[in-house]
This record gives sequence, structure tokens and C-alpha cells, in this order.
Amino acid sequence: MAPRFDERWRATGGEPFEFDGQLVHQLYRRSIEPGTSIDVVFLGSRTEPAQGIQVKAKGATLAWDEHDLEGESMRLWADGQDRATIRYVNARKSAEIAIWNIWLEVREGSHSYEPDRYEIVQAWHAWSGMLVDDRADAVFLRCSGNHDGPDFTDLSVRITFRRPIRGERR
Amino acid sequence: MQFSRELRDDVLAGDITLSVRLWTRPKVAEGGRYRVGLGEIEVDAIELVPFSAITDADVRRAGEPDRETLRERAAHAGPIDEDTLVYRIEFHSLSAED
Repeated sequence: MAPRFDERWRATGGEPFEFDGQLVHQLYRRSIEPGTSIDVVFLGSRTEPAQGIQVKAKGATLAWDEHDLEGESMRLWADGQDRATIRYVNARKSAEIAIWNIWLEVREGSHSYEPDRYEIVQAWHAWSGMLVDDRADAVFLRCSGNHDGPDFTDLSVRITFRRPIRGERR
Repeated sequence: MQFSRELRDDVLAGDITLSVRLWTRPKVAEGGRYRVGLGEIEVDAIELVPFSAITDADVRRAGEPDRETLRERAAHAGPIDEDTLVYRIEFHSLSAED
């Protein structure tokens, strides 16, 4: 059997590797300008385990207005909403964002010191990886995120980057 | 992460270091930094627990006088009973470290 993706990540140090003739990525990186809106549309996902993405802008601030959340790192879940918009705010220069798929492992506690049920947000673990179709103002991610085997239909997401219009409020 | 106006100063001063949220999924990440008013906090840990697991010490860390006040504040998205699963979020103020 082919080595799990997390073994491949360890072997490549997180760099993309080829699987079935396609390049599997751990992260998607993109440079964005201040004021850019990041529109996330979940096109399809499995429900168990729950699927999502994490968006991180190192040293910069992202705003998810719908949830009154401002910070450097957001977790969006496909079963929470079909779409979401995140803005890159409060910065005067371009920043690099990184996006990766996450999934939620729910475990039942089996020891007295554990709760009955607890969650672990998994990333880069087991069969986690993304196929990336990068276009001018958007990227399509097809993601595998589970314990069972490679399946890039676990999560499909389109992320569009809308650059600020001159004079638009940031 | 948003906090009620009356809690923000205590959050940024480092006197409040815990929040209880009735979220369906975790929206923030451990190690993530989030704006609170004019300052920032860093999330140290996120845990899904039944409300019954919230201790008196947690209530104090959340800046609330008692469990019922904390329950009421956290119940934005629906009622919280003892079995309701809530996210228990530990954080520290980055402003207080300055």
C-alpha cells in the first residue's frame, strides 16, 4: 500500500509530491494586497469527518465580519456556511497568506481522565493533502482529509481574491 | 474575538484569560492572535467541553461573578444547559506583556 500522505510530508519536508500523476500540496500560498477580499465558496464536502480550511496571514490581520473576528488565523468549516468573505485589513503592504485544509476528528474518551467526547482539528495528518488549480484571481482546492485513504472529493472549495478598487474603504 | 465592551479592558489587562463560546465549530486556532478593541490576545488552548465541566476557577478567569452570568453571556446562539457542548478558550493578552 502507498505510504500515507503524512509520511510523504515528513519525507519531503512539506514540499509537494506526486501522487497518481498529480501534485499534492500541503499549503497554498499567495501574496495579497491590503484591502483584498477573500471569497470562499464551499462547492462540496463530506460531512464525516467535518471538513474546512484554515487561512493564515502571518503578521497581518484578517477580518471575518460575519463573526466579528479579527486576527491572523481563521478556521472556516464547510458545514458551517456555504460561503464566507474574509478581508485583509490594517496593513500598508502586501502579505503572504497560507491556506490549508483541515478536518475535525471526533474521539470518544476511553480513559477516566478523558472527556466522553472530544475534538481534534487535524491538518497535514493521515490522508491530508490538496490538489491546487491556481488561476489569475482564484484558486480551486480539492482536498483529501481523513483517516481512510486518499480522496480528493472530501472537500472542494473555490477561493476568489478581489483586489481593492481604488478609493474603496479598507 | 469580540468581547462585550465592559470586559475588554480586563481582557487586555490580562485579568480575563478564558472565554466560553457556543460555536458549532472552532473558528480560531491555537497560537492565533486576535484583535480585541485596540489590543490583541493570543489563543493558548481550545477545548470542547460540556458546560458542566466549567469550573468555578474558569468562571473567575472569565471575569464573571458566577456560573449563571457566564452561561447567560455565552448563550448568544441558543440556550446552554449543563450538557451543552461549549468551546472553552484559554488565551493571554499580548498588550499586557508590553
